[in-house]
Amino acid sequence: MISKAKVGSEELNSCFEKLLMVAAGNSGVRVRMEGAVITEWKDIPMELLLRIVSLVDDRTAIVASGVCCGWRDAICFGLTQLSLSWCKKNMNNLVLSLAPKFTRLQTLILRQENPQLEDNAVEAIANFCHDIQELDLSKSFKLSDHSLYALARGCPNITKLNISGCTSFSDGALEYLTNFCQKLKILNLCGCVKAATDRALQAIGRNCKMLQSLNLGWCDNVGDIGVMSLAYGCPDLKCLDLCGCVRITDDSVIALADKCLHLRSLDLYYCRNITDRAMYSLAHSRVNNKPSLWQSMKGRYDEEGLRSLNISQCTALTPSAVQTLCDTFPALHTCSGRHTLVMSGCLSLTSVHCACAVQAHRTLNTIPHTAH
Amino acid sequence: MSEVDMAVIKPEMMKSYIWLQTADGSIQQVEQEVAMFCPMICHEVIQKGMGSSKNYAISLPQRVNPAMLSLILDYCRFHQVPGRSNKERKSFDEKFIRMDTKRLCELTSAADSLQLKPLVDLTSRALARIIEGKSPEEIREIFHLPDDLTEEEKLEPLKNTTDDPRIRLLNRLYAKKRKELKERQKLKNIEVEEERVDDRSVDDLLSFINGDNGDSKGIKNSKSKKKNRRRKDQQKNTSANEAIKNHNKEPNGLNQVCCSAEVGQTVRAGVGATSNLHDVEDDIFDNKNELDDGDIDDEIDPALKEKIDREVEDFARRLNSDWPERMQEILSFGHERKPVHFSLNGNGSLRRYANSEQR
Repeated sequence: MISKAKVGSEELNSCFEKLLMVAAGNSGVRVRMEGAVITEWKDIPMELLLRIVSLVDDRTAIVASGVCCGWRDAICFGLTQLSLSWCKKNMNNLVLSLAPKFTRLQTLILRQENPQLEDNAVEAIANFCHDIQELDLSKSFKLSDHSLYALARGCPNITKLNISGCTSFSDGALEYLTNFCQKLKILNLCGCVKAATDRALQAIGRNCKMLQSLNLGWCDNVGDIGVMSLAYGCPDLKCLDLCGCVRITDDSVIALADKCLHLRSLDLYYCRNITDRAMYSLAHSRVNNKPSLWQSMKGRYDEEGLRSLNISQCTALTPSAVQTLCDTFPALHTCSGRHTLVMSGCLSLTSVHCACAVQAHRTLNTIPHTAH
Repeated sequence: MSEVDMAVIKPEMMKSYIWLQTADGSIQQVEQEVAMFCPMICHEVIQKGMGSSKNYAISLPQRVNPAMLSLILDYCRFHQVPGRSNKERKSFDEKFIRMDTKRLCELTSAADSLQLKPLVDLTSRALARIIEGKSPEEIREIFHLPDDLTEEEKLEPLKNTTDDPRIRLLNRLYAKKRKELKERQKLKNIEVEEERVDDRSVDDLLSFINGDNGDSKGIKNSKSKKKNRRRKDQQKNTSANEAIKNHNKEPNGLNQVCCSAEVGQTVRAGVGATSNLHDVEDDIFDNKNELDDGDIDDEIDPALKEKIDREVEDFARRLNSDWPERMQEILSFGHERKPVHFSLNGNGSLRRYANSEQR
């Protein structure tokens, strides 16, 4: 206290002014600390504040929006990305409180460790955040179809949607969603057994022409009709995950090979019905569709073709077909560095090698074995 | 324009300078290569031909005051030299950024107006580190921001986590009481300081002198003891003054104990209770501010509820009691605990925070 007594007189004056202001006003709940206090930071440009807020973690950003009116307005105006995955218990309430504030959100990550999210939160998002482009609702076990209906109505600009693990969704609701959200590019339906049916896939093929990536992992209701509709409807498809879709047969792969010329990644894990026909169709499609030099220069021809293929547990395949495939697509590798052709569990396919693996093998063979 | 040519061409013998004018009117000249490190100055020189002489000095944006300009030029002077290693630059940056928060804010603002991106990044990151993990109240204190959100807005993100309306009411009550307390304390601090300057009696001076000599400590103790006892009944304010003075001037702990024992036997319990109150407050606010209560369930357990009730009643009683006694309690409480929250002047609190921020 004594040290503070040596305060300069101007400080005392400023304190006095402050107090007079306070005393003059209603000295009730809200004390305004203005007057002599430096007000520079109220005048800080919004972009600068947003830049600083973009450097902090999400929790701090939320706290910062509750500091003062200026910060609140700036952050609510400028915050476009938010993740609430760190919430352990109260994510639902937090979303309910924040959705009306952060209306300019474009990316919202609500992936949960333990299911917390409920329909009312998603409805709040749909009501307030119309600019949402990327939404991650994975592992939200508690959500029902109401959420999808709400999203369809409120978020038409959505391009990336992850509803993996939301087992309660039905295919009718998903179909309804695709009618309205036609800008979808990336859709993750991994584990959505009830939602990913042929009916839904037909709807996707009809509506989501820009779709590039679709994950149908473990959706065992998916059949050939659905995948064929998808292939016909979405020519831009690059990545397709049919892991565990046991009903798929060669017809699906043939359709994909014919229609989706930009296909880069295909996962057929556990699709036991796949035979060599599928492999040859993929290879032939690439050869047949190799356009003239002019077209390839225009960039419509994907130079590398298939880059990643998983045919683990597809035990009906034979080495010659798969080797043909490997030779046709230079980006498929079996070498240890870039292992993109995965054939686990296919004991008959051990002889299949990519070009680089063969080279290494050859060099190895020329060195005499001294170990014997 | 020949003047522009002269500014841009760099003859080996002659070092060229750029003239800069800050918003307050002062003009200074800076070595060209240093000044040209700033995109905004560079633009002015090249595109508009300014800065070649005193009359054509480049007027800098308003957010750049002379102090900030010199800092920025130091930064530019170091970094524009091409031969420095990344490690050198990094360590310079780390040392450069060590300043109190107020200057850091001004520097960020100035660098932004000059479009000096590397410095803006550096200062922004430093400010981000300062903000991280703090509560809204703390952020407001650091940056001197107005407390202009309504209570409802502040509690908004947490409104539904503590659904108990009683808790919300309590929180509002606490906030109100805290503000009142702060306000009154400031009022009283001013008064106390002013009086100290004026009301020093002969006895006080004697004790002061004796205290410095340090020989008659025992006598002094009993004297001040007696004095305290006497004056407490008569003039509560001046006795508090003395209590403070004696308390601070005599380093031995004995008088401290006497002092505090006298001034508030009853206060002891009160101080304890108030500090508990503080902790409970902090607990509640910490839980609030966590935004995600890990441990507390949605219902506060009854024991805590009762404690809160008791504290609130205690608090209310205390605030409504006789003011001079109350002030004594506050002052002695302030001495023993030196509370961080109730800081008087802006500089003081900044310094404190700045010290704690330097890593």
